[in-house]
Amino acid sequence: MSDASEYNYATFPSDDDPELFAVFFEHLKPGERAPDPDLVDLDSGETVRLSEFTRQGLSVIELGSLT
Amino acid sequence: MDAIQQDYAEQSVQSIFIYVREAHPGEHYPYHDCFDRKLAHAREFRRVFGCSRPILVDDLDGTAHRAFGGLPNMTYIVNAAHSVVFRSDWTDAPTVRFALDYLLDVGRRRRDKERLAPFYAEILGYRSSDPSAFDTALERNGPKAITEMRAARQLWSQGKHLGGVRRKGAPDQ
Repeated sequence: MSDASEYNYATFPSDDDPELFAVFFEHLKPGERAPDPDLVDLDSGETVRLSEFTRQGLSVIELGSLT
Repeated sequence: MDAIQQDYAEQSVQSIFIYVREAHPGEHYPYHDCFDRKLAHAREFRRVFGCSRPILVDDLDGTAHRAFGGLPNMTYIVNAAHSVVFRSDWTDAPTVRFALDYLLDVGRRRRDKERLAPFYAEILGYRSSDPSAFDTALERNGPKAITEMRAARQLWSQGKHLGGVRRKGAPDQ
């Protein structure tokens, strides 16, 4: 799913992507290193690394959207 | 989840929201056809939900989202070494508090010089469920979001989903 148009579906898929579930259930178990992507800080507009936010202690990371 | 940011700030807990693809696109909030639309929706999210946490926007390809597992509303807790110490396939604030209290207590025990060894545990979580409130929220997205959710629920009730991957409890929305 490297195509942005596939990732950003226009129609809600009733068929869950089994690869996605496999990624969640089989990978990133507690104890493993978290991904460290570049993200855009909404307030500053700057590109930041996620790990810049996680250095101070525990970080709660919620992923989601308006819809 | 914003209350958690406030309640745990004194204990150096950082809370972040990563903005990903629209889970239930509709006429009012369609899918992201460009990054500017994604940014606009993220601002709208901050406004509609009064989110006071930092919002970090994932790229249009969903790089971060897919790296974290791609499910629509996951929560992770990560430690200072950037390792996962908690993850959930849905977001439930009481459960996150439970995990934070546990993990913060581990920190105290370490400071008290208790000898500790890491181990692995799993839990079946339960979150409060209100399908009619969920449907009301879908209305905000537009009629298309409701129609498509209904169609999906019908298929799910017939077991036609998940690509054969077993999963405890289909989403109850």
